[in-house]
Amino acid sequence: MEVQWPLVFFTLLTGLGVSAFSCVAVTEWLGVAESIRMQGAMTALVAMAMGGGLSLLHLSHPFRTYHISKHFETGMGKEMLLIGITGSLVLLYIILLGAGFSAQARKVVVSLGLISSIALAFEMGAIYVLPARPAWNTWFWPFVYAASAAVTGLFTIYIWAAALDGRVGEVVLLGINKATLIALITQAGTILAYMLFLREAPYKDPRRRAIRLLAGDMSFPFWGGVVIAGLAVPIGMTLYLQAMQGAHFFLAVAVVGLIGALIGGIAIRALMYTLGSEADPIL
Amino acid sequence: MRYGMVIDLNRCTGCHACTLACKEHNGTPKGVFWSRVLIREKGEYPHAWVHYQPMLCMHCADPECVRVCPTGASYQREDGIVAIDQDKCIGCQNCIMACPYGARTKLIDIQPYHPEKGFTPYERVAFSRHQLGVVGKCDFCASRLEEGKEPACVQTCPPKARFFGDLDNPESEVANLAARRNPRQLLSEIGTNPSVYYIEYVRR
Repeated sequence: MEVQWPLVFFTLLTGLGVSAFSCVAVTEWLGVAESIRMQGAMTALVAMAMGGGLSLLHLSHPFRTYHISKHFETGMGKEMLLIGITGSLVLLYIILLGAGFSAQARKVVVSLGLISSIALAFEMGAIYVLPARPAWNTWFWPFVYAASAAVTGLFTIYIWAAALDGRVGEVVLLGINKATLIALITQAGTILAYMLFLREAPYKDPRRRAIRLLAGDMSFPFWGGVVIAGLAVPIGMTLYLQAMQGAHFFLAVAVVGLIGALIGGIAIRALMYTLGSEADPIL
Repeated sequence: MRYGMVIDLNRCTGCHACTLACKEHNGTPKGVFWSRVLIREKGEYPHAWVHYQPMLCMHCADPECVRVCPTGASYQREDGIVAIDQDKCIGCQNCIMACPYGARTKLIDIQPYHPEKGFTPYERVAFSRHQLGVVGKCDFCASRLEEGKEPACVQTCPPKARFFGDLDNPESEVANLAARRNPRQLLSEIGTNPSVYYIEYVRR
């Protein structure tokens, strides 16, 4: 089916937002990197607001969305509910942080926010697990989406840590670096698992064969977007940052890593739609 | 009560009369087909043949489209018909993604059939029944059923390949055919339990 670009950017930006806020939640619990919490939370809120706004572009009648309030059991209903909850918690956290509330109060808010963020990161992929679209009908998708969210959010936090050079501390930078590397390896694993699923999936329609990605008409976005820009470049940047702690071009390298991760996130989502042909009723 | 249809593929000649009857009755705009006939070549020369597969909304007993619709615009009536409330549809296309049968279309543009002449009086009236930006599909000609008539495609079918009625009524022709002729439901493995059955084509 046609690539639904508003949804591509909705899931990409919302994923970035919830992941960035999850990182802030972790720093709050660990009691580290205080200087990046406000920036991280603000970035999360802006990214989620932009993502939510873009999702409306996908709808022909956005003013009718109030009907969703009666159907929170549906995938889109859950998404809307989780966005509302997570966005409110991020906003509340920003207020608490700005007003100087106790760490205890903030921990309660970020803990709830962490739970709803993780749920939302998975739900954005789970909505596509549909028997009608054999190439989507796998629970690998929620993990692909969640891993993509984790990578982009971690790089966003990395950028803030790099921008506030000196105030975060080397131990924290090393921690973010390791977490980013783990997220990238997980993302590579989820994509590999998905490729294996495509190979083994029923209804072997040529339109959704793995070979289209590996050596067919979609090989350029797959190898160029998903593998090189989305995995190789960010992994390279992460390893480079690990080796060059404290270098003055730290920020630029982190930005390159995020751009690569975003391109990879766009590419994998766009490829998902392209592979999403319907099941063949005439066998 | 559960309305259903049995289509005998041995009788279908691929004439597309059902397609046209549907378009005429429902006044669907250009490019929108709630009823259509898929044509597929099967087998290999010299034993090749053309397979005709009339397609429409399957009015599934367990419809995926209803399950995913976030606004309740897609719903199942008590008589089994899966219908759409146009005023609730937000055009999110979740139902289109979830429908395995390609039965749904989002109306994104309304054009006259003959652009050089503009909209005809018929097109003006017929197309005004359809909202832009919402999803539409076959409703088993619900308005005709209220008048005691059969769906337009059933009444029109020249070789009488379509049988329509109440699947829950063991006396009805469709229930009898469904019980006796072992018809097939499309993609039954998905678990949607379609109310449209097909009597398989047997080559003679």
